[in-house]
Amino acid sequence: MNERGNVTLYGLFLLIVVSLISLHFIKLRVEETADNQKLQKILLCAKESNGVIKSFYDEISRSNKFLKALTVTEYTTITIPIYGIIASKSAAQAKKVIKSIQLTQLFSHLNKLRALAAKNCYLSLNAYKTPYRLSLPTGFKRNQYDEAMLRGEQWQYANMSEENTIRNQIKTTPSWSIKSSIVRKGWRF
Amino acid sequence: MAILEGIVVVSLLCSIFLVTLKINTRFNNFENKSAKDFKKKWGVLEREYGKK
Repeated sequence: MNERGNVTLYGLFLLIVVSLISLHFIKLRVEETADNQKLQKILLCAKESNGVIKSFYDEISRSNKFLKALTVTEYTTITIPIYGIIASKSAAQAKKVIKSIQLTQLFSHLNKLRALAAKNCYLSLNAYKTPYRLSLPTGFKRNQYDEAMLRGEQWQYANMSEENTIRNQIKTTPSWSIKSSIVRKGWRF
Repeated sequence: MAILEGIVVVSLLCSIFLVTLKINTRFNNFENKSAKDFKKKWGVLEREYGKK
């Protein structure tokens, strides 16, 4: 009788052990799936934010070329009588228009970043500073050609979530290049 | 009687194993689906903003 009781106990023990192992396995799978979901989300966020920043950079650098050409026109044609004054004034007017377009592009860009944050794609504060130097009343800091000035050769920002951070290092000279690296917190083994 | 108990224990073990396997398959399917979804979204972003 005692021997039979022991067999039952061993059976129960085996069942409990196997149940615990399978529960642990399921728990690991749940965590792994949740981690993958979070990783996929932050990767998509990084892809989108990099794209948004790149297209903003392209737009501004394109209009910067026009600004430079117009500034050169403004100051070189002034020496030509009559025609020069008209050309110079027209160039100044065109510059004003382009500057206001750049300002609109800046607000549109900031709005896109805000929309990203609303989708739970959190960006570091640096992202909102943009690759260009900003000044409050005029929008952009400008050089002698009235071009919007870049912050420097390198600029970086990060995509953040609870578990992962993606660091994006952007080089603007000689051409646009981006290097992203991921830092994962809480690795599970 | 002991044989009956043995059968009960073994069948319970088998059902635990099968349930775990079933759950694992569900997770695999879900992950495959979400990977496809991810690729699709990535493709959309690549078309919108370019490869780099």
